[in-house]
Amino acid sequence: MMDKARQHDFRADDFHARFFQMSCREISLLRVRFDIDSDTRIIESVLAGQCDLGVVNHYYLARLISGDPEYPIRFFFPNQGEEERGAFFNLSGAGITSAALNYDNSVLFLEFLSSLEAQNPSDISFPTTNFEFPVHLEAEAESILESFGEFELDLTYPVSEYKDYQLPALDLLERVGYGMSE
Amino acid sequence: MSSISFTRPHFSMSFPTVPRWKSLILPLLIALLIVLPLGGLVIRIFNPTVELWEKLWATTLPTMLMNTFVLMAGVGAGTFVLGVGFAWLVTAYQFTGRAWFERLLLLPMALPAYVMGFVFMATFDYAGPVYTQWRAWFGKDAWFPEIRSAFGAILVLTLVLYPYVYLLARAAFREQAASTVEVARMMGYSRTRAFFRLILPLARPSIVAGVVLAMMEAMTDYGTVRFFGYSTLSEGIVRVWEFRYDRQTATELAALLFFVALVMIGLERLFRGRARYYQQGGRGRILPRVKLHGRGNFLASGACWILLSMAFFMPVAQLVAWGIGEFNTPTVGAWKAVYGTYVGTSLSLAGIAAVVVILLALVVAHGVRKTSSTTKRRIPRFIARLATLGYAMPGAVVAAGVLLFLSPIDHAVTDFAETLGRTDRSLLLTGTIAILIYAYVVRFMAVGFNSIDSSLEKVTPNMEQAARTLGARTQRVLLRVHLPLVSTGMLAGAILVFVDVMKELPVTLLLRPFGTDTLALWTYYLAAESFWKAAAIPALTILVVGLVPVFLLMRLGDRGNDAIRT
Repeated sequence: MMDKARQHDFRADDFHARFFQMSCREISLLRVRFDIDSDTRIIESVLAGQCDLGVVNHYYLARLISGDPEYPIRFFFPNQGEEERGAFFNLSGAGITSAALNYDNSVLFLEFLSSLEAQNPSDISFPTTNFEFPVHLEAEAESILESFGEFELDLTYPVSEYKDYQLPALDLLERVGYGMSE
Repeated sequence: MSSISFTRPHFSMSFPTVPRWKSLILPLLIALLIVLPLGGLVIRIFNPTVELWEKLWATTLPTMLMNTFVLMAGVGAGTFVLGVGFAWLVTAYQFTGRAWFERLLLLPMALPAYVMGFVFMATFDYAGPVYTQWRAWFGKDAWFPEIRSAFGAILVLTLVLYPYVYLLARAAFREQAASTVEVARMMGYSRTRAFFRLILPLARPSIVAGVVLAMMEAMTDYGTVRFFGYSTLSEGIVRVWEFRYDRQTATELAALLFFVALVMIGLERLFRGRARYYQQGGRGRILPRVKLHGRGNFLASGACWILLSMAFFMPVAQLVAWGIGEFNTPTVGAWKAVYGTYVGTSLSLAGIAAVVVILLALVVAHGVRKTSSTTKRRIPRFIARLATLGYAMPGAVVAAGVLLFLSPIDHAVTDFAETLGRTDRSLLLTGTIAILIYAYVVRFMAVGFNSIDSSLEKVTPNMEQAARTLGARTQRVLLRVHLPLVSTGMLAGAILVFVDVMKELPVTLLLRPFGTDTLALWTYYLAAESFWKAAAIPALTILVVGLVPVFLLMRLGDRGNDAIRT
């Protein structure tokens, strides 16, 4: 129904064309929808055959695979060729507000969260339970994440600059109608 | 005659120890408390940020406006057809299960729209079981309605909101139908013709009130349209606020929506007119119902069954199935660890809000009644209207207004507290549940006020006069005469406010302090991440609480319409 119209817009939109160009030469075969904004539902829709490819945060798929090791959807990291930029990634951060009542202990707590002890796989580790890649460089990833294999990250922009692109990114999402139906 | 009309004002004039305007001070203050946050928004619209509106107009605003109007028109039409149709069916015809259906048709009121929304989404979208089965039967490309669309949002909101129209239309039909139909039949009209030519037009005030109420609910809805990716003004405000942290834009959009809401109130008054025809009909006589046989009987029962299944039994069965699954094997963390906390937060927020709203509503309603006489009722009525304005305002508008209003005050208060030696820098009002309670009061004052006001009708001036003659003072009269008489209204109002706060989404989402999570928010976040099973547990909890006022409405029968009239 709306897939055809969307496909047309999609080709016209050079940002998205560039985004996929390097990773997926068969772009013209893709059926593209932007109206689902729940990552889990995007994966389930790929499974149901509504779309061929979904762009999601990896931990949603990891969570589904942890529930069912035979889950038939697999990962594909874009932009992994020789001259390519690598896959986009984002970081979960933590901070202390200026109104914090207990500054010193907050610092200690954040230091603990980012320590090797808290980042290595365990039942209480935040990265493990949430299927995120650890931020501590020496920490190991959870076993399902290990099974995804090695991949290159897109380091074109320093993570500290991400915030500068928040509004343009939201503008772009609104322009293509991400998460919006008609 | 003339002596009576002379003595009545004479009596009431001789008793007041406080002049009229003094009794209006408190109600006026409360009304100001409610109007000021909303008024702050109006000022904004007269001083718009031009470049901001240019950008909005070039990007998302046309879609949001269009969607808002399509949604309201669709829900208006849908609730009109379902509400009026089924109200007439159960009033004028006798069929299998009629008495049951008459009450059960109110059940969908207990489901918050966003709960119905996510159940429909999970059930009917491409990856959902129904569409999947459909493809298995009719092939991969078989046509199926796209639920993630205007159609889906309108369908869900219509199914949740038709009871408003149903309830009011049924009451109006009952009150006027018997004599009207008799007269019409005598004049040679068929029953159907009498319905379209006489009964429907005569019931117009009630029906318009119900339809406008449903349209306003559609306009103020946040959760459902969010799930359906259907961007309305209400949804846009929350999105700009939550994702862009852009309170300026959110506030100015809220000011725009404020005006849309005002236009709706105006339209309702215009269409309803001054008339309340239905009260002139013969009360107490019920229209003899036409007994349906065979196919007619089957169709009538079937229609009720289908509507009830779609709007209540199917979604609830799905929720129960998910809930049982989640109960046995949790999919998202251990729900048991947080369930108690969320229930506690929801119950205490709803409880505090209900008590505060009812107390304030009692003061306003009492003051307004006391100062209203046959000749002088403009000012008290106007105050009452101001105090109840919040109910027509979307949660996002109320949240924006309250924050805008409270922020400067809060900084002053907090700075002052610091000079008194308070070391904590956190904000005293906007950083705590105080702001939430305030916003709930603004939003739901009308609910409390209407319940109490309608029960105050029972208190006649004679009762007060009698009490005063026996030497009771104003406070004593209020405590010993008014309070017992209005306690039912207070309880009903408190329950309605309680449930409304339990279900409330946008205000809580935007104004809650860190770490304050309610059942409604828990449901919303889980459903937004497609954790349907996990979302079922808080959703069912809200549903159980939401059923209480619906059962009350079922028992109240006709009189129930007072409770929801705004």
